[in-house]
Amino acid sequence: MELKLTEVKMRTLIVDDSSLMRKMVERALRLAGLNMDEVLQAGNGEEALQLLRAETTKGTVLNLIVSDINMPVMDGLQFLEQRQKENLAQGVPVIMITTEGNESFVRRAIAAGAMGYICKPFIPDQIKAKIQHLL
Amino acid sequence: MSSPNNYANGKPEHANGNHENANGKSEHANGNHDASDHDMDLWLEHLDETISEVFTQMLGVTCLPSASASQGEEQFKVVLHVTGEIERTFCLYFDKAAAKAAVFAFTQDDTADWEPQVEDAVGEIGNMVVGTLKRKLLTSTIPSQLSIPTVTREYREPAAEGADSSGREYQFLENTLEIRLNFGPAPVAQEK
Repeated sequence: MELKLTEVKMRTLIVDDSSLMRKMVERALRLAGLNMDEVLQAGNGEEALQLLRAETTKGTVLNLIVSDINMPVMDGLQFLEQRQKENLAQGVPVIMITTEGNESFVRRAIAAGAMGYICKPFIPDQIKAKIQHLL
Repeated sequence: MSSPNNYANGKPEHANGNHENANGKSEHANGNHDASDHDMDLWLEHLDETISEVFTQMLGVTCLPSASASQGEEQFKVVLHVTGEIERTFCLYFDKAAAKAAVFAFTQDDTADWEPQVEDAVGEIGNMVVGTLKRKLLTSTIPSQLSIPTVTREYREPAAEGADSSGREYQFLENTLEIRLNFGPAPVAQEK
């Protein structure tokens, strides 16, 4: 049975060095039908880890992480690997967004806990399909 | 749709039968070209399709090849490097109106202050264009990395076509975007 995404209130973390792309991903998630209760944003992997550590301390729950791979300071793969090492937000579905779709990157991301990836450019229906599949 | 041309065997090869000869030089059916001619053609062949995908899917606007290049005005220049076994440098030039239009296409808000977001917008377009090209042309058998885009403002004269540089112009929302592929180091910015 298809999950009705509008019925699930989502707290989502979007990680991308481009603030415009973070807004675009948020827009795409809303267009995909997600009920975005709260959207947290980080500009790189290091900022995302700091947010996850704070979330863990507060004991709040995240429902989804969407992260770019190619970012300065700390890239998306390093972020995932460190998240795994620190046992942060384990069990939260992670979707990677990449322009390259490089197989070795994807293998590394899956090994570090990513549940799927979407290639840029994308259309909202691709995000919807991926999330329907994951949640 | 992607054409079957790629580097699947670790060497550039066209599906139409063009291939490298015994001397390691690429050879076209209609004449001989060196490897960089061949390789340049391969990347440029995919550029129109890639530009179209990025602009249509992400920005909701069409972007088509054009013959009109901006000359001698301040432009936003985006530079990205593909490094590894294959080394290429891509430069994207947005004239001021094109850069502004890129921001509005991203934000879907033409009342916002565009200048604080311009480097983000043109850099991300560059990232998507070159990343998508890389995905289409370089398989995982060819280790390569894509750099973070750098954005500068500069005045520039039209670049001459040469053996190690080639480019194309595009129009979106009546604005000009020029893309150049270089085989050597990125051209040094010249300020007026």
